[in-house]
Amino acid sequence: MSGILLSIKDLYLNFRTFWGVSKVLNGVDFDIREGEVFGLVGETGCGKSVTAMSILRLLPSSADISGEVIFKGENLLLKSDEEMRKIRGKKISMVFQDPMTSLNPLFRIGEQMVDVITTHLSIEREEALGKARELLRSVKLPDPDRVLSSYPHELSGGMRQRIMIAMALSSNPSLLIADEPTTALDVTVQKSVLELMLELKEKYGFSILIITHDLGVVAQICDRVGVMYAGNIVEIAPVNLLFEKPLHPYTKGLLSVIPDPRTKRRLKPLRGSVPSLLNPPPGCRFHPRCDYVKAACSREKPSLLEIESGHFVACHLYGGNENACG
Amino acid sequence: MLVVEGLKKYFFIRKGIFKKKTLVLKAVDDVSFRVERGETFGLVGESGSGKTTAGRTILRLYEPTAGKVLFKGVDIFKLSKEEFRKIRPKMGIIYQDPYSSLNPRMTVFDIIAEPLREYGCQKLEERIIKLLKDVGLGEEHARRYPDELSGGQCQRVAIARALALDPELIVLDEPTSALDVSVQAQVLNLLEELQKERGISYLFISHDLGVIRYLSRRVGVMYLGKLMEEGDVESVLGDPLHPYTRILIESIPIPDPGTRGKKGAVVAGEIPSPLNPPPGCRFHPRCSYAKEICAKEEPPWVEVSPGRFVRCHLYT
Amino acid sequence: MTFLKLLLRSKISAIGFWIIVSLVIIAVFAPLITPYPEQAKGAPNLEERLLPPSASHPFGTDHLGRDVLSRVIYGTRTSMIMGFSVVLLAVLIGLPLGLIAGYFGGKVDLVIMRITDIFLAFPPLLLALLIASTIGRGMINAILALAISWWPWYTRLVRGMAISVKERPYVEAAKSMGIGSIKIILRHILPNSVSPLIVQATMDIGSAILEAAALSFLGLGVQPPTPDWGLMISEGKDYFLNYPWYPVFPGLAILITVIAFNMLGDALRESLDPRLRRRLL
Repeated sequence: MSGILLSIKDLYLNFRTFWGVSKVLNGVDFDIREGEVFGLVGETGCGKSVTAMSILRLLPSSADISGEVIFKGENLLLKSDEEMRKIRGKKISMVFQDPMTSLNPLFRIGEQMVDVITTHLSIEREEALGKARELLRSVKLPDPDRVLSSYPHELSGGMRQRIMIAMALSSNPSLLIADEPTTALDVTVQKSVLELMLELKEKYGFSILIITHDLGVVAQICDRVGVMYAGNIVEIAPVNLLFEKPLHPYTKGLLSVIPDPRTKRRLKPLRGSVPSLLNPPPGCRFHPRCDYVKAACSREKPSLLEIESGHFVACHLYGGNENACG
Repeated sequence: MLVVEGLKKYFFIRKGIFKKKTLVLKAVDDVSFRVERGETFGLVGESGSGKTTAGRTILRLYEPTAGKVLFKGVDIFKLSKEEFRKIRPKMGIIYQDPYSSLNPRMTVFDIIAEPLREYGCQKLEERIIKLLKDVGLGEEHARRYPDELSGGQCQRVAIARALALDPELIVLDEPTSALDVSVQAQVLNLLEELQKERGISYLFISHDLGVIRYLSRRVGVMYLGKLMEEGDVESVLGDPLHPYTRILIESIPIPDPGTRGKKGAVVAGEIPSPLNPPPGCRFHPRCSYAKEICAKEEPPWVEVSPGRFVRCHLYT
Repeated sequence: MTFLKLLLRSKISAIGFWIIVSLVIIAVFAPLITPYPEQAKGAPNLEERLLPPSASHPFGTDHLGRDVLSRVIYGTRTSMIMGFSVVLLAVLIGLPLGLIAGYFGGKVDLVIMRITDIFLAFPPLLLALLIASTIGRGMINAILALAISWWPWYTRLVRGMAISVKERPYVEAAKSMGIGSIKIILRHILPNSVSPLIVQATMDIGSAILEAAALSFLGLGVQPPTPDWGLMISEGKDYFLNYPWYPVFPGLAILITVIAFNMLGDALRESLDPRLRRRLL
């Protein structure tokens, strides 16, 4: 088993808002191993993007965070801004959903890439341009010189996203965080971008933390998956296990509501809706919507327990304390 | 119910300093299909396919450049404004973003009441409460504002508004794309129920084949303004004829890790700009089956078997 | 109530808000709180000319012996009336034009915008002079002059908002229902275009008061003996060196008022911020 690259323990995050305190992360725990693709899956508001931002400490001042984010043996939450700057974009890089807003429309691609490259590597501009060219080739962009001299709006969404990936990989990071990297792209382009990410991972050996709401994407490229709901990780499993034997009622619910283009089957939606994080339900945050709810669920928050090898669930149905119903 | 014949919608964009150059954006270029009563016709495509423009033009929100749209046998483009106004209540529309399709300054009650008031309906309160119940909302939602509701609830309000005048056809433009998966399922089930109860026809526009599969009986695949394939949904999705349809289906990430590693075809390149579509068959630069003729001549619309159409030189 | 809570959230907006409330109260209840109402309205008191501030005359007296405090209090009335009227009139002209230009676009837009441009080119002072020389001076004419030079800004503002609002899906939805243009403009475009206008108009009340004072200062606006801050500064400027209280207090009044309106406008802008996603106005 490969070593652990990033370990998040007990991550709690609150936002101070006008309407009160929003308890966005409620004790997030998971690990990312070297060379793996870890998928963080959940619906809007579950906290997956915020978790990623917490790793890179890109949070607004209204955020109160506690817990540990251990990267290569050091707790990132304890680092100063200066130290984080050396890590961002260099050891841990991020790719966002909308490539249009991640690239400055006023500057040519070449300029922007050189900017990023020279920030992390102290090399001359000419050399940086050469590296940029090389990077563009590695993300399968034909005619890199033309791309370097183009403006973002002259290129398509798929191309821009590849450029973002190239820029993110320019300093050989150990971890690439991709926040909904293909959601804004057409389906046909999505596939090639995802495959590209996998290929590059194989070649350069970095880990990927991919954040998405699309279980299809998860099934196709992730090695392990963490399912999030309302600020908690409710299940972690290797991807095959997750789809074959989902344990948490929420995971089961999610899997049963995806319309599959191959067949038409009845969609059985979960009842209720995502709770407000200003006033989340006590105990297990999913309990008001759960068909298997028991007394303990509204009192005690279930902790993430390993039920079988590599398969963790946070649910009172499992773990031995209560009668397991499976 | 709805017959679309040779629909074309071109946008003329003037470029150049003195506005001399006129570029033509052939958003919808000769599209024809039928939607039967009480059924759902799915219109599938990626960005630039023209599906959204087609939907809008069919509702006469855009004036067409050419073609006919027959609603219950009547060419709606030939009607005068007053005559069309009589038909308008029979056609509804639902948009992709639930929040921006509702006026943030109006209460749910007023939003649903608007079409009712416009056509002089009485007993507003009764009807609105019933509509809210039909879409799974309660009386208490009537006094709320859109920003107090969730995305799913807003979409239900939009559906209630579309249902207010008892339409016979509803155009749905990516109605669930902006919603979470679990909410999407709720809304899709609601739409299905409503269709069964009221016999409404849907023109369902989407890029999501899973969703299309769920509701549609027949489906048409669009690419750069043209229909590439049409047929009943099982055949088109289960046994696609057109190379583009095949690529589309194979590109969808299937939520089943067991299907991993099956490379399938990866389509080269990206969707070209609709301002400058490739000559001949619009898909030919990306098609792995492209022949010489594909670059020169546009393939005709051929009925390969009853109800099954393709536009591809492989079948001519 | 949430609106007020947001408005008073920062100290700055709270101060601005309360100052304006006080000013309005002063203006409304002027006759009751003025120590020397007759002098305020203009009656001279030549025995007590140019007295420095004292217990009986906290702001001193002017060159005709009138209590400056009383005149400043009454001046609040004039200023408030002028400020509100100018802005109101400008909005009444500018808002509909902006909506029409923005919504209909095309030739209508072209024509309206060219007219707007023409009026924008008129400096208010020149306009005031023009009006003064044709139909005479006085408060109403000053209001007219200012309003005429003011409305184009609102037209531009509203037009910009209208153009972006008309593209929104809910407007298209209304069109698809067959709703007519006028109803669409009134029900959909107007309520959603109006927030920046409210912010701007509020801040402009302060500016309008300032400009009205400038006009009175130059003798083109309010005429003596009506108490008006600008007029008082104009009358008092000759006495500034030896009797500074005379022009200074009205000047302070203008300063405080304008700052207060700016603060209020800033606070309004924050509370109307669409990012807050709450319906506040």
